Amino acid sequence: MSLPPIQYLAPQSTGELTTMLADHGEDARILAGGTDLINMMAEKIVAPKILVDINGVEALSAIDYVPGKGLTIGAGVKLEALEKSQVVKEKYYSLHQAASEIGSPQVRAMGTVGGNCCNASPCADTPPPMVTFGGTVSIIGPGGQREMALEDFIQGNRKTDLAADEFMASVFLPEPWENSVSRFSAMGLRKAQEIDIVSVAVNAAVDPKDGIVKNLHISLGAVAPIPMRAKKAEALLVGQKPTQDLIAKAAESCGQECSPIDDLRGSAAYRRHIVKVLAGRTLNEVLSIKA
Amino acid sequence: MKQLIQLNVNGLVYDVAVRPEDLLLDVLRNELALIGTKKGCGQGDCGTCTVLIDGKRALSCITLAIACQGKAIETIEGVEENGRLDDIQESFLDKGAVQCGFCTPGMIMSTKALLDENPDPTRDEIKRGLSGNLCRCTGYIKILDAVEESAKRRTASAGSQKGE
Repeated sequence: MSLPPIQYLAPQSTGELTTMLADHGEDARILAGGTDLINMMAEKIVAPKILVDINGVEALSAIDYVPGKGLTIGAGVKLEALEKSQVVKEKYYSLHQAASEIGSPQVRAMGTVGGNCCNASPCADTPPPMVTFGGTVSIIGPGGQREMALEDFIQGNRKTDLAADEFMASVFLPEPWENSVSRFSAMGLRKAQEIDIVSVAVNAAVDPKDGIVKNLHISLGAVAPIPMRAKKAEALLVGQKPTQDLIAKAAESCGQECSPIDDLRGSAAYRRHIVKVLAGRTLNEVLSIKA
Repeated sequence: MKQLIQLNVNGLVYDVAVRPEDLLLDVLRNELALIGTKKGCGQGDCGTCTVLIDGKRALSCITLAIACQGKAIETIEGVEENGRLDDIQESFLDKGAVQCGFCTPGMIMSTKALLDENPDPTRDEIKRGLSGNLCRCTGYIKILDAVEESAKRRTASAGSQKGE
């Protein structure tokens, strides 16, 4: 397979990157790992004239945790680095799980968190956990820097809030809730080199004194155009002591709230069923773990 | 229009004319005559094109050659040293882990990356480490055996180098 002719640019700073995107706008696309982009170009799904390679912009590849405040993950951070990060494993475990199961070791060595978010495939693995942690994205453009919730940033299939002259600089995950426990589960055809049929991310905080769910975020992947929050399911459990009955009702609600499609990996009906099963299992797991 | 770039492959610096859209796999095979790295699916799914760039795994069929300037690229040709096969290659031969041989270069590069990170992997860790490399011939068992053997040989080699 071969690519159509392009121009290649390699900025070495966020300043240079901003200028290049401002200069070229719609003609340019950012190249990070290329694991999605290069294939899309080969299949003529997208046809940028210019590729702007961000791998030389060191400022984008930092993972920076400030205790009590939260974790900033640069857009250029490789999925492999996320997988190996001790702080992510300790404090944002569902994100560790999600990053660890993307693609293959090769894909994780090349692919980036920024790419996983900005490519905005409905099946992307890292957005659902990051949504459950209340992640926000930092966006840089000619006008300066702006921030928005990751949940609002990803807007549809392959669609984000980025203008043609903007780039995602980082995602910020606030310090987790006290007593937070998080888990991610996904269903795919194989154990590796596959795209999720369904994924579920759960982040919950149960008060150890009275056993009541203080906080709960559920995000579902691959069953809607975006990494959606299952808010009705959350409302069933927040403020309650989790029981098998309530968990089952919440799982049922997840099945109803999502809007899966039929595609080559599975039917909508199958996905709805699997969402219920995975949500039930993941909620059970999270709500029975002592933080 | 082609640009003259320098690519460091297996420790040698090559001057090569590339178009910006040329993929590393094609440049390695067609411009540098390093045909050990194979093209399987051409879309990053089968792992047969796996090389190491600055020690990290890369799928050369979806990597731009021009993006590899200033980096150290390792291909299967660089694994042997002065005509002597390395521990991984010896193990693959020993255990009968090569049938048609098409997946073998990619398997060996992935094995090298795995053992460099984790010198004593469990069988499950080996499976995970090679999960990006497909084989249509062997059923994988002998490949996994070969990786276990490689780990033992490497540890033994490292030990004997220290004069133990």
